[in-house]
Amino acid sequence: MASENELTLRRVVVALDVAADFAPAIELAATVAAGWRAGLRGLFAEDERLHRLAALPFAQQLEPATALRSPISAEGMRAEIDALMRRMRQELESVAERHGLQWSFDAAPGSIDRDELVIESDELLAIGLSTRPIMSQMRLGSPWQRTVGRLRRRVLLVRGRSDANAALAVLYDATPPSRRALDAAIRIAGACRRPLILVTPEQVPDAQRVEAEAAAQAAGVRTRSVVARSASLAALPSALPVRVDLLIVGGDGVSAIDASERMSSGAVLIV
Amino acid sequence: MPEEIAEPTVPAAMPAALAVAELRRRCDPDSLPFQSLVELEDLAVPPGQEIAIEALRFGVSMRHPDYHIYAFAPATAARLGFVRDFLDQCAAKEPPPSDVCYVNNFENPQTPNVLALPAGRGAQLRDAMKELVQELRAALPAAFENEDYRTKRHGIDEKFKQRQEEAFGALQKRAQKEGVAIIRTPVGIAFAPMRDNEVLSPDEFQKLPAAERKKVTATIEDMQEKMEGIIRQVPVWAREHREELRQLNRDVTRYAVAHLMQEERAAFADLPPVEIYLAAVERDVIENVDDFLGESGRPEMALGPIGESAGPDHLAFRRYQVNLLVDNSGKTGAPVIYEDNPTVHSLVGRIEHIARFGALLTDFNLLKAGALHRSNGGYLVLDAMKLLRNPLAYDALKRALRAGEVRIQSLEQMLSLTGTVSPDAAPVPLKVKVVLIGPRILYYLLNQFDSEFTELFKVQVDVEDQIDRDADRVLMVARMIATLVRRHRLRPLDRGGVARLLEQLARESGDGQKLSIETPAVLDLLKESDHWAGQAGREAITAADIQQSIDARQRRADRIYRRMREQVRNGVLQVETTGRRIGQVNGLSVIALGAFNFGHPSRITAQVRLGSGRVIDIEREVELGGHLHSKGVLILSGFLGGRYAQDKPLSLQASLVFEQSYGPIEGDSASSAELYALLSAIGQLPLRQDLAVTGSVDQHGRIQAIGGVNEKVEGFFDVCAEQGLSGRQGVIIPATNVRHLMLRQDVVDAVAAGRFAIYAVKTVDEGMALLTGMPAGAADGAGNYPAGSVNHAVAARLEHYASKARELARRAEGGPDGERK
Repeated sequence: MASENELTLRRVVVALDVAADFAPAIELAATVAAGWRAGLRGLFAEDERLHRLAALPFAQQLEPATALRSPISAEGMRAEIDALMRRMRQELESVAERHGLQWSFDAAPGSIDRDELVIESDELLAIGLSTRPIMSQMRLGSPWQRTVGRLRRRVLLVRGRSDANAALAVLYDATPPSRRALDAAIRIAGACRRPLILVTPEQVPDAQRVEAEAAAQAAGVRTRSVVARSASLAALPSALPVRVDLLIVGGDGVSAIDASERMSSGAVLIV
Repeated sequence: MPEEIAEPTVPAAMPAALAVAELRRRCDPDSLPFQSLVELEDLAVPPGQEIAIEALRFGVSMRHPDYHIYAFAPATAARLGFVRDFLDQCAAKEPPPSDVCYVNNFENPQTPNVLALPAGRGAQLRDAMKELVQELRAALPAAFENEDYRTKRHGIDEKFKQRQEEAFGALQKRAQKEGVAIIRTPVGIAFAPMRDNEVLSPDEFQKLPAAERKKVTATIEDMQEKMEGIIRQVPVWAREHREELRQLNRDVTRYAVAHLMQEERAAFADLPPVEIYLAAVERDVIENVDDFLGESGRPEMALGPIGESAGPDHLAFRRYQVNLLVDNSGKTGAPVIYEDNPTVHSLVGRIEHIARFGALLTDFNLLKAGALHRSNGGYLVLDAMKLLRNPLAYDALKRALRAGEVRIQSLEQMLSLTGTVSPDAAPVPLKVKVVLIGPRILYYLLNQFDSEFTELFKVQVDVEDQIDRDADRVLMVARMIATLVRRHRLRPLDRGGVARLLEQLARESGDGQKLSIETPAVLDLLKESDHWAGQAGREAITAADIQQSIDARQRRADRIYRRMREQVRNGVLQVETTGRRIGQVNGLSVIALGAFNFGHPSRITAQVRLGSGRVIDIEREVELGGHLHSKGVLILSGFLGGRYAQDKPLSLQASLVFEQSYGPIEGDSASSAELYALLSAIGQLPLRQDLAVTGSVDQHGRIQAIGGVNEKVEGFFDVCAEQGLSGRQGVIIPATNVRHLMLRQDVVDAVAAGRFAIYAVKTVDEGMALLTGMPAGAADGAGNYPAGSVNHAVAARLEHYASKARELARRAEGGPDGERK
């Protein structure tokens, strides 16, 4: 039985749909899963609206690549969704194999109710908050936003592209949730051999900061300490000295989501 | 000469043997005007080369482009030191030529530009550019890290983002207001009518009133058109955004670059071509600043043909490098380049390649200079034989000299074959004096068969290989020896050594009155003598060491000679050195085996019978006789007809052969021997076999000089010595060859002891008198020869043949004494 301070992880579930910018989400989910040698599951949720749309007599779609309109048919829509799912599956397979992880891919045509989605206690949900751009900066909002709002922890929020060389950061204020975050951060940084930035608010005693650094170094993780003036998560991204790919925080999901929105790219793991 | 036929035929006296002093012109050590070589000054130019030096001086001072030089050299070009010494002296007085650089052509990277800069400035430019790139790599990222820049850039990005958001946001708002959903499909977006936050199903849509259906359809159609407009507009905005960013980057870069390049511009303000180049560099840096910012950039465009991605050494910056093709910094005179391996690429330069990911890539930095580049503004010395042996090299040299420029091309470009993409480098203007060094025969062949050669190489430098052996020149040669000894750190020669060496040089010249001045051969002999002196523990080279070198050299080379003598000794090769024979004489030939020549006696025999006046050369019949040999034999017919058959047909048929000769025979030096054998056979006159004969003969019976007289005499002497010197043995040589005698000391000693003899003859009559022991006999007024003379016997036999021939002719024609058949 794992302690409260230790995150157990059997599987990372990557939430996918037609709009998802799936490659960064899958890559980062695999990076996190590698810290626990956890499995990787792709969960594709169809948008029921697409089938309704396809059944309408005047239904057309605009293809940004060509700026041309084309009629939509039910069969055509099905084929396009299937093709997209195959690409996602291939990507998941490729990334999982590169990280040496077990993987699975589930697609529930039109059946997943995001509001009802429940993950197991030893699972983590990875959600891509960025959708595939229509053009340049034009994106539609993610249909997973409401799910994110409902989850308070065990969620990985991915925004933008991942950089394999960027550092990881963990917010550590010596509270139990932050100890859990530190533990998770050390595992992930150790697995992907990336440097770890240990962010501690000013009020944290030096001894505890040193203890946290020692824990990371004992695991063979290169660590850099940063003292933040405020313990506010909202102010954290701008306090980071270098580009951070993944911020790991404990506990407060709402604040974490807020922090992730302030990060122009990268991800937040709430444990 | 034929006009002198009036020469009266006088009885030939029996020639006397030559005196010992005539056999070898000795050099008395005491006659040398110095005590030691140390006293003698160095000789800058080998003796006897006054005309060659004059020709060289003319060739060097002729500044017209077609006056290149061909120097005749007996040995390889590398060993013709004085030509190079002379060129070095001339070059030292001339200014060093320009540096030559290849730089990127920013307008067209495929055709790199060439810059000719004063000596030393090329290296300065190369280093300045290297430093500039380093500074740019540090300074430009810093300029772009500046907070003001970031703010400005952020503003531009935001403007672009805002434009899209505004356009798309307005559409989204309208969609919401009109109850239309914007849905992301797998490959695009679509618009669908909504009710209660759900997309209408087809049934629900069909249940709508017709007017509403029409309205919904029209709204969606309108929104789709709007969306299309936005999608079409985004690339335009993106282009504007990029252009704005580019302009911002240009402005920032321009300011930073102008500041950084100030120093370079000032340093090269006196060189307009460099100013132009630096301006092009500045423009390129401004246009390609991304390369300096550590971003993806566009290295594949930056390098033109090489097309490689930025590696650890930032290959994208290679385009700013200066390829210093020829660096004359620190030089004080014009270059003198000797190219030992004149291939096409070692002459005109080459294009190197880098293997990268399985492909061979190149750019202007990989252009490498050839000898023509390095010698530009000076002198290029080439071995003509090596030049011609290398495919395309001679043509490439001529092309460059004719065009007055040297162009680096790959072999594919040169041959117009399809090849890899290579730089088409601008040619380098060429001003060089080429000195070809090669054998005389090659010069004449090129002159005859290559008109371009004649046009380009107008100056011939004819190098002497021997000089007269007078007192002044002997001293010059002694100075040459002293120079070689000092230059090559050899032991000094004592006076005896010098004297013996001079004698050997006379022998090698093939003329006792001359001295060979082939420096390489002299040097070789000196080195070998130095070795033997060292072996003997002597401080100086003596006559004994010189002699040992000569003897040892001969021993190393004379295996075939020894084998042939052995075969004579064993009787396998039949050479008689005693007794008399009719129609047989010992002729002498020289066999050349590399640097070793030796003489060898051969039996020459003749057979005669009644015939139609034809002398058959068996060697020619079987195609073993060369042209000159055949000519010599044909002359014999002329002689016989002229002397014995003025008023009657020459009614004999004769055959001549070199017995036991199985190889080709060339030269006419045996023609006198053949004539002796022929006369002996006709007149049935026994010839002495203890004499050997050499010399060519003309149609009037005069004996003419031949080559290799020393080797021939020594060859017969050696055979006689092995069979036992009788005191009667000797060699008959042309009188005109007496000056060439430089015989071995053992031969001279044998003559002095009366055990061997050398006779010099001027005419066939003298030779026949010696060989037969009979007087030759002079014709009287009626053309009759005295009885008991050689000529009488010959004439009588020919008369006999003639009358026999007449008789046979009469019989054949059915004359008074015969019947017609």
